[in-house]
Amino acid sequence: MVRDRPAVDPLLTMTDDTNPPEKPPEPGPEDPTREQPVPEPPTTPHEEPRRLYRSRSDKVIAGVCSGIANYFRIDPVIVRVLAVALIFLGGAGVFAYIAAWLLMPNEGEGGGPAEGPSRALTVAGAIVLIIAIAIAFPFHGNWWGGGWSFVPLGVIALAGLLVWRVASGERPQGDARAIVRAIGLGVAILAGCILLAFGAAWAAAAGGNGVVAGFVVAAGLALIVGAFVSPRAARWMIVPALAVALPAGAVAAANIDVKGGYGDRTYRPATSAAVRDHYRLGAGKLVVDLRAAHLTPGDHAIKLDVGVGEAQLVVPPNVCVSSDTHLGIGGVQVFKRDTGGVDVDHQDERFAPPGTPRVVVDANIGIGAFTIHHRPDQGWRRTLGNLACA
Amino acid sequence: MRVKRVDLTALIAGVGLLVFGGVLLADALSAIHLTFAAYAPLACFLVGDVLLAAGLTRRD
Repeated sequence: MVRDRPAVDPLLTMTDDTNPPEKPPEPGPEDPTREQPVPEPPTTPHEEPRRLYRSRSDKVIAGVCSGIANYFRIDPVIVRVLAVALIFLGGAGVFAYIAAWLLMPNEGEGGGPAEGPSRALTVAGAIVLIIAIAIAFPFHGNWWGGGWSFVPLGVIALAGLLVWRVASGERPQGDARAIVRAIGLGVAILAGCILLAFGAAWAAAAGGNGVVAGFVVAAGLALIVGAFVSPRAARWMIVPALAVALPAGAVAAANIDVKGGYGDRTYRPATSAAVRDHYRLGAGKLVVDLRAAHLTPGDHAIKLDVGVGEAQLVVPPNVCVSSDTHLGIGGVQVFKRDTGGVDVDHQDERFAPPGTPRVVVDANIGIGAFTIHHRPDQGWRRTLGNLACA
Repeated sequence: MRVKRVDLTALIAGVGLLVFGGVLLADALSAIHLTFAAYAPLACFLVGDVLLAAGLTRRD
């Protein structure tokens, strides 16, 4: 941005205040230089840093390629060809273009903060973009070849920029180095927040959910006070506070409890009396195999709790199973029936004929899957149903 | 007299986190049972209002 400068004599701009120039001698009447104009001193052009702008006059979409070409003083067609090649080679070009669109000011805006409506559109665009990425990611295969391997880099860079903008409340000044610096800082904040998020999730799942909730309340209060007392410092607290609050909420919603330890555990009780009434695992795979237990006729209540992971109950074909399953996120398969999603409550109440053992299962899985079947190596199409029930 | 400006984004984020933390606290104390059906919109509101506030307020 060119600042307004006071109108001064060009001669004075070239002089040092501490060493004023010698005053030229007063020309006398016989001085031959009397009527000659004073020669202009050699001036050095004022070096303004080059700015990266989106071009308004020569644009196809948003003027990003043309702006970059102007910055490097090359033909815009070269940049456009490279951008298209990047899209088809890796997909990173899409994210780079959107990031540049978000960050590069329009030609003539001077790189200062954008006006309100423009910023609103920018943020709305970012939100729509993130939603689009979230929706698109799970459903696409490798139709870009190896292109998707570049996409996470683009997503990380974009997320870093978004974090930086929310945290600082500013936008880079249009200089390429400032943008790279913003990306670096944003990604660093993001990495720190990811660690914070895992820590908060683990603390909440390990029984410290009350403490984490108290921390979130305290962070909210600190932000409210900080908004008045120290707005700049308060702003940098927002993203870390969200990084603690959101995973803790997810843990609470999934009802995850990792107090039961982690890893793979398989229980194969050899007698009916050896069957426990409660099996618990924090994270991992829990298998309860009752095929060798020779269950006695009557009801056998079993409670299964898995925080994150998979639980399997394997029963012999002569045992009836009645189940009540709660899942935060995941799927449940009871013999040939399956369902899944979020907040899953699956009830399959069955009754056994006289003289037949019945297992009454109460399963709680935070995030993961629960399966009841007769053979762990059998696919669901081949598995027998709950045939022992009445 | 110079009046200190209030950062609206921090203020809105603070109020949102206060409400969110209150819900988490209520769940931790077993006063309510938080499910994803309630958590998902709550989390979206929290993130959405922060992003909107960050986008609509201008920093001078």
